[in-house]
Amino acid sequence: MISKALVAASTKPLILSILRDGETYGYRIIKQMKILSGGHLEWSFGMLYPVLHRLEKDGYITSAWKISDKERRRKYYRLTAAGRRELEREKSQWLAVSRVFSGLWQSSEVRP
Amino acid sequence: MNKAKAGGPDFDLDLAIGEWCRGMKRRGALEDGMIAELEAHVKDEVDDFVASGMDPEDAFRRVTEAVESAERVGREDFKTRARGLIMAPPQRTGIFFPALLLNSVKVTLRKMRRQKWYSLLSVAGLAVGIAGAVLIFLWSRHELSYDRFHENAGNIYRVVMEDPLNDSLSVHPWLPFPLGPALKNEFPEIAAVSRWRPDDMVVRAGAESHTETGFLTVDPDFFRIFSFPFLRGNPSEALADPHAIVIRDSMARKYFGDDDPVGKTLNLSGRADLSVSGVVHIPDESDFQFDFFFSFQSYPLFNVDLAPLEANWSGKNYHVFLLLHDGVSAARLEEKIAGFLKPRTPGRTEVLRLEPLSRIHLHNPDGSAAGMRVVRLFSLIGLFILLIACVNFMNLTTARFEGRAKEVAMRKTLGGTRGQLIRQFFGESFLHSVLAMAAALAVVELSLPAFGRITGRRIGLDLMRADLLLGLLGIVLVAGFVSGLYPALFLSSFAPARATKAFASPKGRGSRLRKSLVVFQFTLSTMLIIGTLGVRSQVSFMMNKDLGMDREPIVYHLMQKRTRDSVDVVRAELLGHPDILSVTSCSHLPIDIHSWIGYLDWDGREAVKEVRPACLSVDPDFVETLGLTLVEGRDYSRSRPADEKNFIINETARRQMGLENPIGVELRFWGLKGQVIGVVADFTNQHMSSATAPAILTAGWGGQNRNYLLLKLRPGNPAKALRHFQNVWEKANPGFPCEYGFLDEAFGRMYTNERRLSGILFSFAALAVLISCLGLIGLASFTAEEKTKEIGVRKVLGASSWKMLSLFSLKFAKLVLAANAVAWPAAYVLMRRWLEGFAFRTTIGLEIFVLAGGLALLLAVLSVGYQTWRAATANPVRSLRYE
Repeated sequence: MISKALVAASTKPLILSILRDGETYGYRIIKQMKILSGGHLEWSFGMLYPVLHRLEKDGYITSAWKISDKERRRKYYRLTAAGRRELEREKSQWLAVSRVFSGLWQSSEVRP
Repeated sequence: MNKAKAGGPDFDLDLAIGEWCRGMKRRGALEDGMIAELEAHVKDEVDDFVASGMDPEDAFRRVTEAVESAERVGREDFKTRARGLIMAPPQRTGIFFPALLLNSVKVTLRKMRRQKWYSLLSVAGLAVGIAGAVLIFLWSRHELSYDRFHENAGNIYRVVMEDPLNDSLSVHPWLPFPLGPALKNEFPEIAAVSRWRPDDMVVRAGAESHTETGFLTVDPDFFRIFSFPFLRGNPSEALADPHAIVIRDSMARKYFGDDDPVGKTLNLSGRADLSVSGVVHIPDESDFQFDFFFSFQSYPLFNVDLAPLEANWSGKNYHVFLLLHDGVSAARLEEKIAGFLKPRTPGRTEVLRLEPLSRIHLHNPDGSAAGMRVVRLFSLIGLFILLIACVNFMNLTTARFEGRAKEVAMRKTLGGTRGQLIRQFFGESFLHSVLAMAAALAVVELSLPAFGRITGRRIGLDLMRADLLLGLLGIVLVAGFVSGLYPALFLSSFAPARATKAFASPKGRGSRLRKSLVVFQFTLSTMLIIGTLGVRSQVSFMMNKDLGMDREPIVYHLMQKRTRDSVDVVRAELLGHPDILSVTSCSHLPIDIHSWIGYLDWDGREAVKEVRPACLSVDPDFVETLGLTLVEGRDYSRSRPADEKNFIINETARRQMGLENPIGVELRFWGLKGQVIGVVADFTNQHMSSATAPAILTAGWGGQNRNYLLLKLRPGNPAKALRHFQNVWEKANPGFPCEYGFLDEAFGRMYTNERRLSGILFSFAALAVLISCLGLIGLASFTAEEKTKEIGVRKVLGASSWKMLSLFSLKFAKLVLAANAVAWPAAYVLMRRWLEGFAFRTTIGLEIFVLAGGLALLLAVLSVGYQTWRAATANPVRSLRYE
């Protein structure tokens, strides 16, 4: 399992990343994350939605109620321009950290 | 979707999800938008599980169990949203916490223990108020229960007459003798009928002999109509025999002790012997408070011929009660009988009406609410007293609010909701009101005997009766609710930060409210005092009014036949005593003569002019003995035998007849024919609620019906004269009791109701004042406590204790004065309306108001005084060190 702190830190960039592929709703986000992480990341309802609402309040995403094919009301979330910029910023940070980890672990693994 | 619906036979997924969402909503942990989103989420997840082959019910359970409780979701939501903020979680707390309830009770009891003085004042005030309300409740219930116990109570009616007299219409139940049986013959709707006429007689049974005033002559069906419980004998046949008499249980004990009275003989006024055929119990809740019942069929035994009575359609001296068959419409029967008298009394326009039995006790025959008004008035007073007591409680609670404010603030800070505080405060007031009710019941139990004496009613507190318990519960609820209203709604509304400061200033909202409540209390109290004084002043006005005759020292005695037959001998012997100034005999006591009323006729009477005087049969010494004032003509004279036929009339009769000079006019009345020889000034001849009735005196009928002997004694010590009377009497009536009364006392007895009213008003005024003063004492000690520092500072700066005392007393005195300003006009209007019920009435003087106001003021200052004095005389060093 991924630690609480890391989950908390990664939620925002992960959500923004998923939304980069187009609008979607809460349940699909949780499902997608479960598949993508191979079951390592299981977000709870109580955690995801407040984050979504917070992101919306911060202006990174917008939401709209829509009726789906099955006559079901769902709230769809979409990235805004600000959200795209925020994602780029997050991306560069995470990539920087990732590069450091890659370098460190590659060399240490090579070392006898 | 079809699959989803195909789960367990009883499981509806949509319904289950909807219900679950509503449950979430109720817990209040989540916002509405969030719940809608959650709903969509749950549906999606369930769909997925169902698509993978799971049963919809299992899928629903699994999803919702994963979400867990609303609190859990809310908590996560909150943690995510409010990172870094220190705040209480937003969800509402549960509705009911047993521990908190226990805590509230503990706090209440602790508070009561710690503030014994205040608690005692609140509970005592409330208890006295509740006791007053309970007493009035018991009394009203008693008044409303009169004659409801008869099996056929709903089918019993009294016939009353709309009786036009010149311009006015009087409605009364006095009817002609033949009416009752005639109605029964004519209308099959009537199941039974009984006439009714009260009488006085001298009763002798063996050695016991007394003058009795509780005689009722009725028809044999009387006990079929009214279901008075018979202890002996058979109600339906008890009066079938003309020789039969039914007596009340108390009379059975009086005359026969423990012996069986049935079959025993009673001698009535020496005229007839009747044999007891039954013993009846007359409950207190009945207007038929009579002791002896016999039938009109017995009249011939008294040498009274029934034939002329049965032909007399113009006399109006009997009541008629009807028992209707089940299902008969009284309204329709009333229409039928309305004109029944017209063909029998040519030229008159009387209309008959029916009056339900249940209305007789509290209503006048004309339908106006007589006693009912008093019941309503007293119920109102009871409510007022309860209100005053509740106001006390409210006042004391808000006065102590400064202490409570901290508690309110603390509870709110720790997450207590307003609802909880409201419940807590109401809980406290209900606890107080239950305690007060317990104390009140003890007070009621103790004061019932005294209350019974004041009201003249035997009222018991039978706690096993459902309606009483319901009433008491009602009072507890009203008291608890009203007294808790203000603290619960007002005190609970403060924001915690404000609550600790809200009452730091004495000019706060609570102080103004407290003042108005005090004004309200004293307004009601002062009104009650004014009412008491007003009623008393009217009673004393009536007692002391110049009656137009002497009433003191006049002794009256109800004669039995033997005395009456030898009245001239007795008279001569009585007059032999120097202290007996004059002796006369007459048919009624002159203070209440309205029972013989008939039509007066004379030559030259206009057809439209009807005069219906009350008739008094007298002997020639009547006018002189009573000291009536002759304004015209002359008195009867024993030396003129022709006077036996002649009349003396009073001024009202002359005015109604419209004759300038009535002397010598020939009058016809009830078969008598004679001249008017004199006119006397009006004398008070009936209850002063009515104007003086027209009256005629006749010396006719050969003395047959002059039942009363009146003796005028020399003022001073009557003992010797009375002893002489006794001696003479015993000689004339061996074996009979010598019973007599003073006219003055008989007159006083006519105003028992008014005196009772005055007594009841007095007790409730006293209660109201007592409670209001208890409240003031509480407020004063609160003020004294609050002002300890101010008093200290003022005294250090040179103010005297007296100055302090007057300063604070003045504060309360102002409130009482304001109350007076409201109470005076209100009481004046009410008093005037009450007095309008009297033809002879006192004027309401200013002194009553001043006295009542002064009394209220004095009591208020006295109750405030002690607390204030203690505060004012305290050592300033100590009071400044306080805090």
